[in-house]
Amino acid sequence: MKKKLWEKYAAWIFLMPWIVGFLSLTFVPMIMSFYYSFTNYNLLQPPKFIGIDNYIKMFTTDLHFNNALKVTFIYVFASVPLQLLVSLILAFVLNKGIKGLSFFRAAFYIPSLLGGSVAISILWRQIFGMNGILNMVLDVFGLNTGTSWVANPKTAVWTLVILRMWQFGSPMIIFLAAVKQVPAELMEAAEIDGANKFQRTIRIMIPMISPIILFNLVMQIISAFKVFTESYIISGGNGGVLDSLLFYTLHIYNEGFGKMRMGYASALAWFLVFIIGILTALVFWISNKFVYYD
Amino acid sequence: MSRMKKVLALGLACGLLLTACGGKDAPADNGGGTTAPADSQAETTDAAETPAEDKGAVDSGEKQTLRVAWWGSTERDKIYYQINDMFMAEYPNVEIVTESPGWNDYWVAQSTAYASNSAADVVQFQSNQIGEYCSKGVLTPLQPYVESGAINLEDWNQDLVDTGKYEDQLYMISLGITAQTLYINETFLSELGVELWPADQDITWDEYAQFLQEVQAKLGADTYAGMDIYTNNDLVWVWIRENSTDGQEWLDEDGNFAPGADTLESWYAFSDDMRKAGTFPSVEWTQEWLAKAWEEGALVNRKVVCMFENANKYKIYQNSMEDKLAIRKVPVGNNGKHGDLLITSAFGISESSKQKDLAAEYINFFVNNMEAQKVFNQELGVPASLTVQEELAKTADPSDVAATEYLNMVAAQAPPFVAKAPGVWAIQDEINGTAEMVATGMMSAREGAEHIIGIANEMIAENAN
Repeated sequence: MKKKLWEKYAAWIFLMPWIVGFLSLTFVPMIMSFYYSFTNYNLLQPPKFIGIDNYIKMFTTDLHFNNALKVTFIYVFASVPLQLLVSLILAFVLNKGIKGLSFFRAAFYIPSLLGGSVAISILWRQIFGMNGILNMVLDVFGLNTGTSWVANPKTAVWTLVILRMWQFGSPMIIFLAAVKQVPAELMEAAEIDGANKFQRTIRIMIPMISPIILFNLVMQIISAFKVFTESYIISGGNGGVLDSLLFYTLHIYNEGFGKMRMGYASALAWFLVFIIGILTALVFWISNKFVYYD
Repeated sequence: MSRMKKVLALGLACGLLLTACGGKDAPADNGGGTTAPADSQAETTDAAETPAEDKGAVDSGEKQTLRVAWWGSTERDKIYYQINDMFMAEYPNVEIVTESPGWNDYWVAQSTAYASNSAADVVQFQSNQIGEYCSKGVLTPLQPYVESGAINLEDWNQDLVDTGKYEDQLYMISLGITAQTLYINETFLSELGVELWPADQDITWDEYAQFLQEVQAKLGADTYAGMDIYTNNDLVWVWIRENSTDGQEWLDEDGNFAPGADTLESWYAFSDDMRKAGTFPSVEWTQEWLAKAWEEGALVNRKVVCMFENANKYKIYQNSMEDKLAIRKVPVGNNGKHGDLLITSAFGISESSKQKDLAAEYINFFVNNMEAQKVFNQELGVPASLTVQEELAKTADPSDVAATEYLNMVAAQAPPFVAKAPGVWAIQDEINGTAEMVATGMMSAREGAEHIIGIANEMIAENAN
């Protein structure tokens, strides 16, 4: 009887640290921020209920809102597919059983550890700045136009797309694990049936790892929408020339903490939740067409 | 079942997003609470063993902790720690706990600290933010402490004392004053064969524009007569004051944003005209060079001849370059009016503090104790105490003396200090961002001005609620 009681409550006891953390640090703040999104809240005085004014403001008077959405969508839709493609290709390469596999696996993972850090963001400024390494290389070929790739509104966001592509380590490791799980006999059978390498990859390998592709896709979309440090550091916190590096999270931060408009910032955050919810639902809906489950 | 999983997955996705909106991706250099370094703590212990003189009611014998916050850097923190140690040596029962994030993170830390009722006892502010905080009742009026003699301002320059006032009530005690000045590379200018006007002479913005054109005509490619002014957060307010009615710089009689469309349009148009004339660089160029450290910037590297900056940075610039650097007054409006705006960095006492007497004692020590001021050595600009000014002048670096003379001259000619109304400071980014749109032709200068007035009124209304 005692043992049963213990079994009944043991799971709850072990879960308790997470549950307490989740409730106090995630759930309650989420509810609070939802309430704040309907208020005028400057942090120093009690919030004042103003209905949906904050949501209306987004679409009427906030010029930065459209810019932030545009920059963030360009970033997400360009960087996520490219990053997944690079990581998938490298996973296939590493699956070849090459010598020193564990070294390469670790080496390729390092950029993911460093990628979103302040140091790398500063390094990126040095590489893509007016007198940066890229322009020095272009100079050798007589192609240096003297532009600052991070300050030029037309190119700034693409430097961050490259930075994200460079952080392919995490999805690559997951792809590699998935690729290794594909039964060898399936590939051999296809080979005996006359399928070439390309056909085997497209017809067998990709469908077999499609649930993992879906997983990586969803995780990377969410992760890309959350990017903050890179744009904060590289743009100096102001979102760059003509908001060219004003990622949505940076806009939320600037409104909430810079201008002390926490009510409006909360509304912006909830609109982002809405966008990601829609996008994730869309990905899951489309996944019915391309994801193969055993 | 499958549908259930998808719903759960969607929920998880939303949760992941919200969870991460805060902590993990926050800047790594986000300053948290710090205490004095180990060596300074050790000195404190030694000092505590020395019998202290009677320090009045605040030194009751019980152990007291005083929290002090300022925006810091490695070098600046050392100065504050040293002064704190001197204070703790005189008040052995007091322990000072410090918080010193960098500038950007500092304001995030303060707004959240006040929101959670956990602000430090003594908090450093800048006059630009006085309106934002004082209007919300989070700071203690300090006049009673001045009247009781706890904070001694007897020999202070009254114009400089006023920089700590909001609506005629004193909330902050100045640690140092600065104001915008025009830095000119005198050596470079001399090589170009262009004559510099006398230091005490006023010139108008039109005359400054002509001067820039004369200089630019003698410069080579990728070097500019002047650094663009559109990113200068302080100069724009000087421009506005030059075109305003005294006392109505920020709000008009109806409580709306006072600067008119003509004034803001002329601000945008000046930069735009200078860029078109080639005397100011492109926006992209400006951003690239402004991102560099002061010591490695365009002025030091002879990329520009003239640049507006705060006068207290004179020493930094002059010590970073071999060329002789001259300082000149900010041009007056074409109507001849001065608009100089004194900028003070100052200590205030949180209304939530339970040790206001001790906090006042600390501030008084910090700003009036001569040894402490010698250590501070004009770190945040010219001290408002005339006695301290005189004493520091005896051993000061020549560039500090020049900056002090300049600031006193500006203080005498500046219109009375009026703290920015709540909401006004927050539109600064909007003013800069709009300038970029004007620069790239996305908006005309007039449209930019009207956009700013709309946004400013929106923010002022939010603050009035």
